[in-house]
Amino acid sequence: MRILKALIVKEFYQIFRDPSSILIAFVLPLMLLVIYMYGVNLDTVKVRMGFKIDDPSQQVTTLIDSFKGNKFITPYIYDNPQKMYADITGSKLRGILVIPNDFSSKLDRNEIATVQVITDGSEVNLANYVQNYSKTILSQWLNSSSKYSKKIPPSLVTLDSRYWYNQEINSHYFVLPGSLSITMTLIGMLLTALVIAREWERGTMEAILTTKVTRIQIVLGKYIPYFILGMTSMSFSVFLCINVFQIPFRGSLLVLFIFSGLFLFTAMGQGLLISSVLKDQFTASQAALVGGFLPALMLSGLVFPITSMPIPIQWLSSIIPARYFVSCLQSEFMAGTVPEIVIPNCIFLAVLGLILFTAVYSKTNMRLD
Amino acid sequence: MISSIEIKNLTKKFTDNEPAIDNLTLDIEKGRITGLIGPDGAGKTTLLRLITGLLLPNEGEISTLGLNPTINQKLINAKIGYMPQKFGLYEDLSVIENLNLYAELKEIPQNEKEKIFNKVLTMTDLIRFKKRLAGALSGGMKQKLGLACTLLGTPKLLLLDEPSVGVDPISRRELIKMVRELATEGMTILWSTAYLDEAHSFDSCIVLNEGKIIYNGLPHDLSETGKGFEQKVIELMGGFNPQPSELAEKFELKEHNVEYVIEALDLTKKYGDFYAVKNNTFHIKKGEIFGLLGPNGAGKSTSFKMMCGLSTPSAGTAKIMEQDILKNPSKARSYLGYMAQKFSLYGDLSVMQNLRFFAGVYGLNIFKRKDKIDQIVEIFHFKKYLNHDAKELPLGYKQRLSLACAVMHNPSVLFLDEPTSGVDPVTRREFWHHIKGLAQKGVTVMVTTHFMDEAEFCDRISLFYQGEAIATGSPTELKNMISPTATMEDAFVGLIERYNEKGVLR
Amino acid sequence: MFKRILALIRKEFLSIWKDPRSRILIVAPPLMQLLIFAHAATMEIRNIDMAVLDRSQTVQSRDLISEFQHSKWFRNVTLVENEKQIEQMIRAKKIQLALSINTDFANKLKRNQPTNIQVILDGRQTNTASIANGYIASIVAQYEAEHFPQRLKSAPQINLEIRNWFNPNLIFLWYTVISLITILATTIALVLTSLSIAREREMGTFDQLIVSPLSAFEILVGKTVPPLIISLVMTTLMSLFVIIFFKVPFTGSILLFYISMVTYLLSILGVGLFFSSICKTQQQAILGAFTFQMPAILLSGYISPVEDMPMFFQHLTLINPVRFFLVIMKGLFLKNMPAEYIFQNLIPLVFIAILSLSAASWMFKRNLD
Repeated sequence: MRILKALIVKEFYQIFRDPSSILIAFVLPLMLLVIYMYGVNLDTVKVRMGFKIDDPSQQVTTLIDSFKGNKFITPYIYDNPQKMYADITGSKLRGILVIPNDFSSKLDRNEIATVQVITDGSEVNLANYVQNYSKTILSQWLNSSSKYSKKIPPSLVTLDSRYWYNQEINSHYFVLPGSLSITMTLIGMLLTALVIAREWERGTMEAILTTKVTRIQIVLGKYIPYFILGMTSMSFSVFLCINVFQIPFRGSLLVLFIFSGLFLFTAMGQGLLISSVLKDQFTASQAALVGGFLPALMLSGLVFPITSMPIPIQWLSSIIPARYFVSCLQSEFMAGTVPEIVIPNCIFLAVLGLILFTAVYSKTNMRLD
Repeated sequence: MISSIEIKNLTKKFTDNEPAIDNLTLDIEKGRITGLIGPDGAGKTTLLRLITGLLLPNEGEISTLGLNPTINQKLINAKIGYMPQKFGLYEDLSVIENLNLYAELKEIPQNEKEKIFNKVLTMTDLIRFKKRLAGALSGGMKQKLGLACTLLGTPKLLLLDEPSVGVDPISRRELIKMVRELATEGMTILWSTAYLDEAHSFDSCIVLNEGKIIYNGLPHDLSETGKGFEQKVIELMGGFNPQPSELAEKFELKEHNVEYVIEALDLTKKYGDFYAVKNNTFHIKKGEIFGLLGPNGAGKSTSFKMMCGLSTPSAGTAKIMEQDILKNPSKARSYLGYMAQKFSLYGDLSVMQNLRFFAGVYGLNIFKRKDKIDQIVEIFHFKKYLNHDAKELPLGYKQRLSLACAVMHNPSVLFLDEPTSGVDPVTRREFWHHIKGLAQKGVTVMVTTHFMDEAEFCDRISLFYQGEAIATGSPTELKNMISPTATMEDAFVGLIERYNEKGVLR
Repeated sequence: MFKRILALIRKEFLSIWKDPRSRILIVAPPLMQLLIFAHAATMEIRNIDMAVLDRSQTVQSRDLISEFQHSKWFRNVTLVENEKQIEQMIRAKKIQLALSINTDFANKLKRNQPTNIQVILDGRQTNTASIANGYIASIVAQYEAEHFPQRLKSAPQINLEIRNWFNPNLIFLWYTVISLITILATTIALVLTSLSIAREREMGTFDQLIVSPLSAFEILVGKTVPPLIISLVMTTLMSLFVIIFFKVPFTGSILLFYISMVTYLLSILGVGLFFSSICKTQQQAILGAFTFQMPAILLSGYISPVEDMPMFFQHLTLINPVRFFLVIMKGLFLKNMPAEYIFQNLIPLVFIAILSLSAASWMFKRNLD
């Protein structure tokens, strides 16, 4: 017990003396939260659209006004089509609406008027937004226009959509808690990947190995301090989410801490395993970054929905601990504790964590050869 | 006789190589200090690691304190103290934190801790630096701290892997005194060292060569005096037959007529209120060997670093070949060959790759480069190690490689910071043979050392203490300041004591 | 001078390339990740699982349901008996949405009266939910148009003629892989440089370099060229990979591609070297580089467009090399972007490169103490 305590205290001294551990545990999470809160918008986004109007009628003016009135569109009216096309190539415009000269006359005759929508297909997401915005605004305009609305029969099947757990579909509620997984992975994996490698590189491991230290103490002496650091960092982020960024939290803090702890346990297992196998900081950090961090970021469901991935990749994602963590996090924040989600995910994390712990234990060599 | 360590027919092989330990049989007597000496790469470190159980033998048996390290590594660890070459200190922990860590790891009773800490801190004279980070200590202080950490928990067996490399004579005396005091309590000590005067003072000594024992017995049986002992050991190792230094012969010095090749002008380095180097001025003539002597932390390495432009002086400057190191750093450095105190070649490159790299960086052309490298491989006996990663080399070979890389480009000026630390006695002689040869050719050398016999080879010596040059002169002049019969070590110790008493010399 | 730099370059190559583990870690993961993430990193929503509560139980309601069953977006359509089941399934994330069809659905349709369908979506995954809602609307519209063609017979209508330039079928993969190449190239360049000086400093070899006749400029060149070449080769490999295996068109000029690539990589290498030269340990360098990389990618326009960010962040992106390079990459791959537009984005990159590289070389010299 004493030995373990001494090892932990030592590790904490090292953590506090190195500004980079504090950077990664407290500054980076804050930075990510601020960026996700204010810098990155995953909901409906603003796009710049160009307009070419060949029909000077009164109707078209009201149509353009309704585009101008929409907060998601920044309209630019062009006279010179060449310039407009060049601007879409130059990524200055995301879409173009061309209104032909027979537009209002066709509508007046109760016919189908065609408008051309050109999108910048290189930005697939934005192209979809341009299409949807155009479609919606045009049909709203038609249905509310004093001249045409009476002639249009009402829609037969209407939708009454409700978003459970997040009525205003605010993506911050989803992304901010999810971004915890990034910092936790960093602390759990990258930071710990460096620490055992560092002891081998600096020769302190050789000295430690000839004291009364046992293998389990060496392993726990690494797990426990970084676990505490990680959980402190998590509490800090959760505090920021709830109290500063006003993200609603409907679950139980206890449950949140339990599965976060389990996740951290597995992430640290990955990091320490890399570290004790590779034994030098350069390769260990490379391995942690490319083999651990990027997959955790891309395949966890934080940014990209797992259900949309091809089946083999879904299988692959099922061995990535971050996936289970992200799922639990989002559910816990928005829907409260859902046993059907939390229990199986926790069991998986616990089992994987134990396997990794055993691997770390058996890979921690008490000899030099 | 009671043995602490019994070894029978021990063999240890690493991949592809000849055995590092070759069918070795050995008993180490309890309660005595046994010195372990031998040329670089003789297998000293490997033997110590085998005894602790850090390495497993291929063949043969070891019994450490009656236990088998292969099976009972843990039980052995509880009874021994082992200090590896890199000391095993955490550089980002303070002195007291390091001590405390090792005290806890050795489960020293809480109520005894304070007493023991006070004792070792006083003994090592580290009490003033209790709160300083280990990384900020000088080399000698690090070693003392490393030893202090190893001594905690009064081990029955102490294994020291070259603890006195790079330690000044005063500190070494203290180090031995420290160990002696402890050894009276029945502790067995196996001490690997490159200082033969040190080994001569031990109870017993073992000379190892190529994994085999070539001498095992009392140091005094070989010779009554330290000097004689050294001569005998060198003979055992195959002897040293001075031939004209090939390195110096092949050296192509660029002719110049600069009188004072190296000049330090009021060189000062200040950290806060503390002067690491204070108003240091000297002029070194062409072809002179100028030695900087002094205890660890006296400011020698700091001076070196400032003079190579690695560290900016707080005041004053230095000139190399009349080029100001602050104004024309690149020009000044182009005359320079520098060998740092800490091994600083590329550990993950092979010996050959390191040689090629430095040849290239110093701008040797392709044809010359090959000749030069062949020549260096020949001179320094690198053939066996050519394709080994530099980090795996025995300490002495690392130093050879560093020296080789420093002289590769035929520099007019050589800065050597403890070039012979950790080098075996034969190779040390070789080193100095080369250095003297180079100086005769007209190379100007500035060198630091902790070997007093080496100081005698210098033309002029500057004795450094607490950042200041307290005495400068030829070795004879310095010795005469103390007494006509004084040895270099007496002069070293005496001059510093005198300075401490009076605050100034004279 | 040339000989000296060459020796340094060769040494740098050796220390990166010598260790087979590090060799594998540099080459294999980017290609593997490109393959995996290309399919994973999609914002398209597919394989949606849904439930239907059909209270109508009529031909009409079954017709509507079969529209869903045959849609490419939905995977499993489960029929349920009551609302309780819907609630449970959404809660446990078994389904992403549910429809509830009223008893009078068929009757109202027969009488040409509007009828309402309730849609319940899992708001925890905001993006999936809002996109899925759009899918439902279009399926319902299609159902109306197929089964009640008479309704809009003589009403004014607007038809959208959609042209997606540069990517006519809006293939998401194209967008993803081009961005991925950028992100992976950035990661490679940063990892290779951020550790290079910090490692030498930790080992003490950097002093040896400083003392050698190498000038700060020569060290900079020697430290830049090998990672530049490695990351250039990797980028070329990755680009060929996506052109050959994913059939992504490359429409622009190869010369411009390499000019931009070199400029971009130099700017990133400069940042990496800068971090490396201000840090004392490898841990600090790698974590520092990381703290740069995350925001740089988030605020590059990859996740959400720059023009949609608050002004503060838009100004911040002016020093973000990733932002400019993404435009160039998409331009050269998909848009055959004219040189004029390339240069508009290249000039900021040139400035960033000069700035970061000179900052790095300035730090070499300054940080000797």
